[in-house]
Amino acid sequence: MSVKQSDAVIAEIRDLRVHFPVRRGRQQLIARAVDGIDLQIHEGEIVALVGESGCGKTTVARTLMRLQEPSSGSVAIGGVDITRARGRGLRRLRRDFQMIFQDPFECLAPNSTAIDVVTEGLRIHRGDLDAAARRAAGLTALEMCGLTPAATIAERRIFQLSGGQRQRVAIAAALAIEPRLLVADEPVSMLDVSLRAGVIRVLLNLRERLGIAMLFITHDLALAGVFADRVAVLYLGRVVEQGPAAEVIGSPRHPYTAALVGVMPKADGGHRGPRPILSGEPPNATATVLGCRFRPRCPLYRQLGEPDLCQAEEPALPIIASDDSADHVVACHFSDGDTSTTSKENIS
Amino acid sequence: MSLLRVHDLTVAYPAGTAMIRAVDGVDLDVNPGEVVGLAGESGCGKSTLALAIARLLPRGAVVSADEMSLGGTDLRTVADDELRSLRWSRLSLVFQGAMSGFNPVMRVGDQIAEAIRTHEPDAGRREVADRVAELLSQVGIAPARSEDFPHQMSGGMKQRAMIAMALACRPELVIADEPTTALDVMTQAQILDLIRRLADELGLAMLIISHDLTVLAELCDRVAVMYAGRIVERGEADEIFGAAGPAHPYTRRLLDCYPRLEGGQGSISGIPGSPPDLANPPSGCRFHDRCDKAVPRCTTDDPALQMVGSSAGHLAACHLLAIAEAVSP
Repeated sequence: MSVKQSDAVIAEIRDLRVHFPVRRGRQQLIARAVDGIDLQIHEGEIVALVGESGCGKTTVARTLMRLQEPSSGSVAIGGVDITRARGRGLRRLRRDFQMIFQDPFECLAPNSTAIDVVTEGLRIHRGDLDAAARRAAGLTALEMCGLTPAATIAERRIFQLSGGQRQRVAIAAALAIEPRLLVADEPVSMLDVSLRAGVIRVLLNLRERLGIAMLFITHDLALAGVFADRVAVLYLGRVVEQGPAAEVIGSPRHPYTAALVGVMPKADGGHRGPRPILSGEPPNATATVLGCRFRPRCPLYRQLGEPDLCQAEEPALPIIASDDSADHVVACHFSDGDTSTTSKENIS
Repeated sequence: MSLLRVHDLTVAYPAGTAMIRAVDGVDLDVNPGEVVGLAGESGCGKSTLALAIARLLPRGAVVSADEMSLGGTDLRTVADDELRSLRWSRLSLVFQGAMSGFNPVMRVGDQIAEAIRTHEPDAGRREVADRVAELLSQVGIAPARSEDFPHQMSGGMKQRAMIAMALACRPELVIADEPTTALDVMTQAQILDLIRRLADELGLAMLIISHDLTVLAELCDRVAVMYAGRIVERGEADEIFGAAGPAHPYTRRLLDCYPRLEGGQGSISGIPGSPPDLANPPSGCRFHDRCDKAVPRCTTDDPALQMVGSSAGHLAACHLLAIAEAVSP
């Protein structure tokens, strides 16, 4: 299923900022974990959020789940601004958005049975169902996640299940209450590579059958490239590049994306030559950089002789028209135009 | 002659009345200056193998081997006091999750210095400090950072400091268990480059254990793939990951698990089923129930490692090789 332009916007993040106070000795600093992000997710669309640790991926996810209050900006799901919802109203809204966490060994109570985990959300959100109906819905969810025979798996306790099975139980629990948006924070990175495909197929299948939209957070660029429809690359709390997944990963335009793609280990080996490893440490969200925030590590900036524009002005990400998710946009002063061909040769 | 020589190593853990063979008849050699990779899914025995070489197995584990030696020293019979001096100065380990390997309330430099002082009690204060500075700059950390506490360093920097510490007593062999697993792609690339450079410049022998074949493909000279306690394929990395590709169906399937951009969503594939229960290993080839190429013989006969084509260094344990040879002589 591909996303049509007519598909409704499920989640809309506007100029989102999440700042945390940080104490360093006597100093009071501010970590700008998310610093002005706009992002839209359409019905049935899979959007991948990629970037190094500390770039703000998980903070975006937590804000989208209303587990984190934004400092400013708005987050709307199904047209309703969730940042202002409170109490019972918020609980009603939570039916629409669910999350899967990274570690299936930590996020599920080891002693509960699979069916307990899966029906817990139904007990909260579906007061209209009796126990038998909840169990039936739970079994269907388990089955949809490839846990068959569902009736047998249902009675197993979490500690008796393997990592891949646990992650499927977590997905089944999220999907049992039929959310419109699923946020998955590194859902396969703890699993053996041979088991990852099983979980990914379950997610693809859900999108196909139920039209669930997904925000998929990962540091695995190759996976993002094949699994998602659209990819947004985050650097220090900002989207620096966004567009169709295969295009962004296949022919990146931002020097940061190009660097990430360039160091991706490739199964065919044999490329032991020098790789475009970025110098410097991973970015620090408490430091303020004037101009482009990627400038201190940017190979293109050095190669172009440190142009003034990069120091003076922070490049903005062109706004994508809401009905066109096929746009490929990039926040860089020099990624396109006549310097782009020479720069790409040197970067990749 | 190889630095590390392991021949027919078996490690068994008691489980109730039975014995579980976590490592079952494994051969492994590592030469000086060579980076050898050991790959496999969780539970295949790769970490047990590393622990057996370093003599760090938990009590109760039963080890038997025809040979297990490091530069002529027999690791099977080495006495405890000799073992203590052997670790660090000839053989050192870097574990997964180095972030938590450091003492959080002690300066990183002091922890490295401690390792040096324990093994070389005669080294002067000055000499030790110089050595710490040299080690840190070797792994790309400014020597001034030796004053840092672990929490002041990023994950990648801590992992590099851990490698510096492993090199403190100038070992001949470094065993690294999942050295990049919890790290970002960029930090991972930095560590991989560092490991490669150390092997090339210092002539260090390295055994890298990882579940990630793509990491090993980039880094290693030779690779061995383990499944259910056995090595099912081994050879030059260039050959296994080269144009002809792996010879064992397991290695091939494992490699196919890494999505290829040009393959689209269709290229997302896994290996159905799960690794066998080692308390009760299947008959015949241990991979036969997950193998899509299995023939009747695979369920009854256990395949031995055999040469792939005419290349003496490339071995795989699969009946299909013999069949292929018989068909096209």
